[in-house]
Amino acid sequence: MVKVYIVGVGLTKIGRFFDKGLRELFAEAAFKALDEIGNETVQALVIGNMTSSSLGEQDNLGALLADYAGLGKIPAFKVEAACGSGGVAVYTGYSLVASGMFDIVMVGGVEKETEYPTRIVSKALAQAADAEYELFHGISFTGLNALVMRMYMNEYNVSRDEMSIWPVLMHKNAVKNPYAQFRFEITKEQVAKSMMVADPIRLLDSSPIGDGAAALILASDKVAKKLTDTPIEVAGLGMATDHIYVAYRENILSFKATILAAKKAYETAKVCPKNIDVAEVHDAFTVLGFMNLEDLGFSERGKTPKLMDEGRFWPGDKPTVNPSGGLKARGHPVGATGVYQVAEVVMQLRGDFPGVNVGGDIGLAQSIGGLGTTVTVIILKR
Amino acid sequence: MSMKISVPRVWREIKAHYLLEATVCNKCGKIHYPPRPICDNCGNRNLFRRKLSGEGEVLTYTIQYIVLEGYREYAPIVFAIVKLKEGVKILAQLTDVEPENVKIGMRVKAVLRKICEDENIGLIKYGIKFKPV
Ligand SMILES: [Zn+2]
Repeated sequence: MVKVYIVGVGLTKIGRFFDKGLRELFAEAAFKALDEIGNETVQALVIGNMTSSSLGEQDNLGALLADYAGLGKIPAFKVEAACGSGGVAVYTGYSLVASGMFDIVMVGGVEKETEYPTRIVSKALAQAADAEYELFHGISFTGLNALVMRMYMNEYNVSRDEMSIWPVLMHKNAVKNPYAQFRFEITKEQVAKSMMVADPIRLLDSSPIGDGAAALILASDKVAKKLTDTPIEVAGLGMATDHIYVAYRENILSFKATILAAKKAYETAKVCPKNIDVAEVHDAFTVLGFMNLEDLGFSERGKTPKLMDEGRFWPGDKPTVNPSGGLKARGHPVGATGVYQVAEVVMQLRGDFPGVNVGGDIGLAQSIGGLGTTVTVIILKR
Repeated sequence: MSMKISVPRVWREIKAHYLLEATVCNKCGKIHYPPRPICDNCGNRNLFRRKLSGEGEVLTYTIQYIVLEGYREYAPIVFAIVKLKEGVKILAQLTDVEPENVKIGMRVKAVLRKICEDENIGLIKYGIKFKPV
């Protein structure tokens, strides 16, 4: 297989943008990424997106965005894996370059969510679950995650306030991130008093609804060095899926798909969890943040809230977790999130992330679609 | 006006939804709910249908305050994963119980109840909920 490098990245700020739709958001990120490679021609485009169809009445997204951003009449298509679409788009773009089919591929992620009432957006997001056997009963995506959070707290005897260290740290990290949706600190008291969405998940346990776009340029080893002085190698990646009907799983407090995807990624990159300097993980809800660190091999089952409260995973620790602020505070433009994470890790390793920058040689990005249903783990090396 | 509930879509899954029918592997005995055509334990495609007991206990639950479009009149809704006697786990609503009285480990049994109503046409979607015993 051809070695694959990331040679350019571009991000938009995440938030509510009345003046930008799917196409405007994408073009902004794409132009930034193209500027990093001197506007060299890209040969194909892969887009990660979840709700363009259900919310934006837009299918055929690849053609629309390639055309609008002036990429020419190239092969372009969307991949969808719910909230994990971005990670799967990177996985797909990687395959196009690694196979030798193309030398320069753009991977984009874009989501437009903020122009609809919350209950409409919630319905679109709930489609990540099993339509006939989960959504059928009226459960929201937050509701599904709440089932897991209660079980986690009950099984490991973790209190509400002990869980709150996750959103508190994420908000702290995001303050310096110019792309983040929330750039203010919060306290455990504020988390405990925030609105109850699906008991025990409160508003400040939840990633926000936001618009945003991210773009990466992937290049083969043949051309990478000609496009940038600081190529970052995609050293390993893995992907796995699990039973979509969550109750079917033997263990609900661990995502088998994360364990399998991580195993594959660690093996291909020839590294282990203790080698990772910086990680961006998929903390759509507080409980997922902790479970992900446990499934990725960074922490012990049920002990992560306590460890984090003692300073583990804070900036400067190895790994530093979510220096961007994570889904909780950087934001979660659903199908774009996995692309944001990879772009952020690239900038961490290049040393030019404009927020909390911890540097390092090896980074990891984990993206999840549904409740642990589709997981990608991507390992990058400087 | 458009219909949001499709009759054939509910109808074709009706035995699983109304009767809690699962498929059982005739080789290794694994019970599958929702029903599936191939055993994920041993790969056997020879499965038969069996009605589940509907009796079990609450493994975990949530009280959902922010509900989806079409469910506003029912809020808050209690959802649970119930572990049946047979060992199978099922996601469904809890009913006939005040949210504050729900506990992990609570014994429950399945009953057929209204899930929601089509806002425009008035079609009613039914399904299993669990109530305390
Ligand atoms: Zn079997």
